[in-house]
Amino acid sequence: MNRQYTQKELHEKLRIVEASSHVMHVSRSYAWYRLLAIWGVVWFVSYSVLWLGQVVRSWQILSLWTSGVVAAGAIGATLYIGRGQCSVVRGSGRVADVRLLRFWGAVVCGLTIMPALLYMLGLDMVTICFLIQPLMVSWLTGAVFVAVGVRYRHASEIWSGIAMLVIGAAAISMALPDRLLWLAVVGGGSMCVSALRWRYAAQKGRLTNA
Amino acid sequence: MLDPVIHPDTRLKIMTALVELGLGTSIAFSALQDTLGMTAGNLSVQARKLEQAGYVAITKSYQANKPVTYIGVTGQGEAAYRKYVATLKVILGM
Repeated sequence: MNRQYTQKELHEKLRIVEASSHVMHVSRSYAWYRLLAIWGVVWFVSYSVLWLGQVVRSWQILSLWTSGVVAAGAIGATLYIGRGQCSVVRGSGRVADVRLLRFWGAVVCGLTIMPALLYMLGLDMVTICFLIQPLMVSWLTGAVFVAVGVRYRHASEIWSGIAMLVIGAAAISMALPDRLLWLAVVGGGSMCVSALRWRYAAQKGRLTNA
Repeated sequence: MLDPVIHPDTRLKIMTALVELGLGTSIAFSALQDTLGMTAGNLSVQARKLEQAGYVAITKSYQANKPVTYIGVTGQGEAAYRKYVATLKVILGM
């Protein structure tokens, strides 16, 4: 009975199985690359305005507030995209998406909003600057990203985490004077590049012979 | 013998995608259509054939007053798919 199938046909079937499996896996990550891109921009804007506050003393309060507003906008975008992502899938497979959204969002939101909230609660800039220094933020974010990436098997999270750990190590070893700006550019940039790499992988995996 | 219900390319793609999604999980029709790059009509016709064989379950519900159709693999469908892939590999000597 098996002779009715040609080797070429069967190999093609196997290729379809592998390609469909891959495209489904990647497409489920589609919303996450959008979140990663948003957070990359948020990271860049937040730390850029904090850096401006450091350079221009009169902008100190304004920069903290601006950071807070930008982060709040990002939370809204995260919830909107996350809600859309979670609504297309039902059942047990949805749980991981929801967990990832909450965990990832909470960690990055916390790190971005924390300085503004602490300032409003009366902490002085010296203490806040310690909390937002590149080494601490980069390493903490990097460790969390790697942990979440490993837990949920998201390669982009793992690579972003590794990038953040490297940024932290480089920041302290190079002892750059404008660390906040450097953190803004490299941190935000690595997230955006990671998001683009993710998008490229997703598009590359899309089936063309449907 | 390879399962003739799963064997056509389009149905194989649908089954693979749904098995990858997992048993007990369903996906919105439009999302699956977008993922596999298929037309609504083609997906609908092929999904109906899989449903008739008992391989997939199609359910309708409402979200924000809009009708949404979900599709997910059944236990029978997952077993048939795994058997299909295993048979395919045996024939190919893998």
